[in-house]
Amino acid sequence: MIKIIKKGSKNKKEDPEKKEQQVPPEEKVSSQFSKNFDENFNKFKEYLQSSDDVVFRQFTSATGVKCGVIFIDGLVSKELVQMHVIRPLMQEGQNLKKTSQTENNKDNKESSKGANNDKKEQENSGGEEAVAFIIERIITAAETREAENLDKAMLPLMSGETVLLVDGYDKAIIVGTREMQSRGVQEPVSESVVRGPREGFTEVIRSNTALIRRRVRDPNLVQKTFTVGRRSKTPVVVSYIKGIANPKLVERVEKRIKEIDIDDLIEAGEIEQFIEDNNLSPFPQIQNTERPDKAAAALMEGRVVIMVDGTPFVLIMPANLYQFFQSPEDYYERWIIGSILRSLRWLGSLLATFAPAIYVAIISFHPGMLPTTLVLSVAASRQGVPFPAFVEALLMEVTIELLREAGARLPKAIGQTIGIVGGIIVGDAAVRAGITSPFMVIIVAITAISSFIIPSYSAAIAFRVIRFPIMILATTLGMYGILLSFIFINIHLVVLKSFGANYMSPVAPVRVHDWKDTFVRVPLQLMRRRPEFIDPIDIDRYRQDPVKEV
Amino acid sequence: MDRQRDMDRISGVQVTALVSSAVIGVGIMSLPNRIADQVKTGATVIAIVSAVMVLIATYIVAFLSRRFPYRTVFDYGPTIVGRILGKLITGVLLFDFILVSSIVVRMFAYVIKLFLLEQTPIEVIIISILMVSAYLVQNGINPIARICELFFPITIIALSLLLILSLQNFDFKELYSSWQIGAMDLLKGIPSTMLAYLGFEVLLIVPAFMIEPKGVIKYGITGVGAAVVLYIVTVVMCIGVFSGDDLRYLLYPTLELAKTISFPGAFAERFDIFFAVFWVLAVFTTIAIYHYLSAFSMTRFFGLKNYRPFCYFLLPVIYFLSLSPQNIYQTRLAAALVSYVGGLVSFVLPVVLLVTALLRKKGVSYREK
Amino acid sequence: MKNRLFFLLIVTYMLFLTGCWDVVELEDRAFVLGIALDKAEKEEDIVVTYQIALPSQMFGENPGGGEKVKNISTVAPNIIRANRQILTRIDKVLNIEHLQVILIGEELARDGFYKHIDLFFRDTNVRRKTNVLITEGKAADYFEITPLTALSASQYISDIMRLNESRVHQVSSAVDILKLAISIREGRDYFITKVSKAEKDVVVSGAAVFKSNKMIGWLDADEAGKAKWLINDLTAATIILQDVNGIQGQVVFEVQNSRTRIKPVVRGEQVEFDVNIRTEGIVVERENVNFNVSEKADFIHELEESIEAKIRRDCMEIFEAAQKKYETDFLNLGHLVQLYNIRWWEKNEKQWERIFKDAKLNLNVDAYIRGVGLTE
Repeated sequence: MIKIIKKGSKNKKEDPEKKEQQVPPEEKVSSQFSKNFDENFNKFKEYLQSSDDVVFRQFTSATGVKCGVIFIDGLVSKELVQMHVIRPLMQEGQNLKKTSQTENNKDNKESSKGANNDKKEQENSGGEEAVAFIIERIITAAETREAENLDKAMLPLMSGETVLLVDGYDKAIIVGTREMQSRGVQEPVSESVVRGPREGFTEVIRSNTALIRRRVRDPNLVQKTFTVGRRSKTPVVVSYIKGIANPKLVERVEKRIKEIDIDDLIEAGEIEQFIEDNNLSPFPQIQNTERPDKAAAALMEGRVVIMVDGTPFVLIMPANLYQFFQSPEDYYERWIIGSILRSLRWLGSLLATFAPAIYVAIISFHPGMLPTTLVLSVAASRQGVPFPAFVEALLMEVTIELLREAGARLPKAIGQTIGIVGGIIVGDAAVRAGITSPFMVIIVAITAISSFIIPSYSAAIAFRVIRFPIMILATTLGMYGILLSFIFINIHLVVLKSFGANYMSPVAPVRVHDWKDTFVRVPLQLMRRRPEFIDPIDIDRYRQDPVKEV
Repeated sequence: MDRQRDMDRISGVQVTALVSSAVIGVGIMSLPNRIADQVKTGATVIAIVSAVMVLIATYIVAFLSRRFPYRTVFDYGPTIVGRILGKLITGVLLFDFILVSSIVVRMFAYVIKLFLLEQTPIEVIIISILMVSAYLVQNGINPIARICELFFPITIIALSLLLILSLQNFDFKELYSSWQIGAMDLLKGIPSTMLAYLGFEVLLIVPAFMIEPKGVIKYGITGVGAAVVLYIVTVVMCIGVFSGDDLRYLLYPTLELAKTISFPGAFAERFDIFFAVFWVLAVFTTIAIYHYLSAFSMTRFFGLKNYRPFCYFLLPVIYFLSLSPQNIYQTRLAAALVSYVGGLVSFVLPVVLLVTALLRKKGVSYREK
Repeated sequence: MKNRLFFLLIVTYMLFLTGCWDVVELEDRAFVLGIALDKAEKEEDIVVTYQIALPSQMFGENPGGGEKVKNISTVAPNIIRANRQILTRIDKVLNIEHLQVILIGEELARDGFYKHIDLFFRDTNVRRKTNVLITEGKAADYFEITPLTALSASQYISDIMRLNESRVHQVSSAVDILKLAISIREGRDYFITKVSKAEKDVVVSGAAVFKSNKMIGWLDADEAGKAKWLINDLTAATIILQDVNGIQGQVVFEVQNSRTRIKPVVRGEQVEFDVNIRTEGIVVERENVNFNVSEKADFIHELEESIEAKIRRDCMEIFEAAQKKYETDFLNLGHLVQLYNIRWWEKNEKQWERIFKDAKLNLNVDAYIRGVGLTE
């Protein structure tokens, strides 16, 4: 897929205006509707005739007015179209006047997506009273709104709504008829927990927003839609809780989203890369998750959630380093377990990052650090190994990475087995052939296992990646090299920011209050306030009265 | 989100971490040796007395800074003593910071070479640490403060662990003689010792970045106090383990201390490498702070705003300076020279400035509350 | 932007660090487990013997065959030269980070070995816990012994020191590099653990006495034990009492802990040592001694007194031996004087030898028998 992507994010000085300066493809035809039904109908046909899944249905209402519906088969609920649009019009329009001069009284049902609310002024006469009557009395569908021109009618049509054209009226009526095949709510694949809800987001954005609403029944929850992607016109929902989330943060997020100029947006990850602060860093500055409970909790903390239609992964920002070590289970289990698990994860990540490098450093530079018997034992096991420790380590690590990537592509059942079998066989054979020492295999195995302990895949990758430069430094400068890389990584992390929040907070800068949820998890009773680094407006978790405060 | 972000400001706790990190550096490696070099007995007394004097000096500097909130010594120096002298002060400070950076880098690289990397050319060690320092310093005082916040507890814990573990070799009797000292010896020993505690002069500049300058005294004293306590305990432990008169032969008593530790289970040996690792963190912060201060003073000396180019420009300067001593004795000589300049800056200068400021009624007083 | 540029710079720099100067692969290292120093034929030379580990023999797939260590000797004026000479004969890099033990032959000890050992004090790689021992006869011979329970003679000896020095009071206190360094540099007299041969084994007991850095005599096992009573905090010792109070048979008392406190008292040029020894332990064995119920309390008291008497005797003997027989303060009591009376020491240090000869010992021993084991 070749995409036309314009440079987004940081250096963007262009603003949304520019978008409108460019000529959208639809404009070749004058997009204003006329009062003539056939003209309007044909406007659509010119664009969409070549696609067979677009259905054009022309009919006459009970009162003899020419009407037509256009919809896309597969995206609409035909039942709805038939029973609630076509049938009422055809059968019950006795009171519809044939005259083309009537007044219009717009009465739009509000859809939860936010409709275009045009107010009353209508100079155009012609079918308006009729249309108002249609909308108010005849169309029994739950959602309707209007579109003045082709441009505005296209997007809803493409999204699964039905366009209803009435002769004598120069606007199109959009009826909400969406129904599409989707996966249905299932257990999230990438983030399963032992204890906790097993619901995951799906690819349909509406059901995702619903999943969140179910968990945050606060009327202050705001869910705003943006459209990103010139051709894909993907709906993107920015969600936050008004009164908790810092308005500066929300503004920043919205601004960056509006600045994205791309023709095709498929996954949330693409948004992530456009709006994140530093895309040279291996560390993710935005969290992603498939779990509604995680998203809801984030909203409660005052963070902003972005949902993208077509992918079950939602984005959460701002993020700091320590959040990637949090798993929902930490909170659902009791606090001692939560703390132990959390600390274990830290240990695991340290191991995963530094273990191979420390091995190389000790073997090649400072064998004095091990007890004598151990050193002699390792030396014995390394007899006959032709490579220096670094090459050996590199070989094994790369092999493990290959195995892991390969294992990810295989179907579930085979994947596990091949992974284990492959690992064992390769490791054993390598030792037998004298390519590596058994010690190295142990280290590599521990490293691999430890890197799985990080709940967030994106963060785990970061640690996996930096392992290699650290190994290189270890082989050139020994323990000092490892130390230098440790300092270097810390500097990088300390400078990194995520939407204005420091990445290393609460350790640097020190916010003692936030420590309750970093390396350990203190009992919920003690977690009375929201994390400070996000700088929410309303910091207390307790004694909230959302409705009254509004 | 962070008020700190846009203005490169730091908090009180960060000041504590900064000052402490500036003081704890190379000095801790050789302090007991330097004391033992000067006097036969009474090392503990010297350490404590020097510490007290350093705390007093810190108080003076902090007090001075508090009188001129949000301003560095480069700003209020000229205010107090006039432009020409103010420029001179800036120049002296610049000179001092560059010298300190170089000598610390040199001593650090030398110890690394001795204990960790014997064959590696010292230039490589120096370049590598300077580059990492530059990576940090180019971003301003705030990231430096955060790194100090991060490393400071680690260093403290590691050093405390070292001291606690060496209790197994500790013989309290060895300390008996270190309490007795004659007045002459005291006077002789104090100057060179006090200078190992150098680092608090950063309080001439750093408090200008504080969000709330009122607390500078409290935070400064805490930082220096922590460092100083650590030093004293180190001296005590070294005497206890090595016996006071042998200390003059041990050039790096602190690392020797680490060498004497043995764990019963013996799962790891050569603890000196282990502790050298943590020590590197402490020295790195010192180097980064002085590097920043050098760049900053240079900027102010030339009356410019952006210190970043100076940050890079100073790299070769510090590099060549740090390589100029040819052997260990020249290094010590250089260190002594630098400590005298540093002493001038930290002890003499603030007193002069403060007295002048009080006499000429410059600055803000905090009496009115 | 600059941030990123610099970042890239550093990354590229890393790639240029292609010279790994300090890398020596593990299998290229020869781990020296022990060094033995002996007197050579020529006056200025010493014989240096290295015991080098052969890891594959020790842990490899075919154990039991062949030697687990390799002993190489060379003659050189000092150890540094010896190192160089060895490197021409061996295909590995010498590594003394795991040096377990330094053995010094008797003859060399009598001549004075201190000038050769300075290098161990300066080298950063030597462990401070490395033990130094004086051997009866030639030191190099001791490396030839293949112990059954250890991988090498060096480790064998060092393990004895590590494990048993605190359990048996005949094993004289361990002298490690650190202590030795301090003693030599401060010009003190000292004594070093002795090791001797016995059939196919080594025996670590007793000590060698050094005056002015030259060996002047041996302390046998008992004497070494007495020295420990006087100056050490013992952790284990046994005292055998014969015929207590006329009652036949032996009683054996095992010390569980003991504390010695010596306080020197100076008067003019006289020095007196007030020694307080407090020891606790249990009776572990008796032979033909009846414990009658009514006699118990008294009897224990008598036992305690006998113990105290014996300890007093022992300490006095060793003290007088130091004064008269060896005429040297190898027990390092002078240092204690220095610690407690620094001013006096500064004035009288030079005459310490003379003063020591006239020093007096005031002993006060308290022994407590806490229990008698499981049976009456």
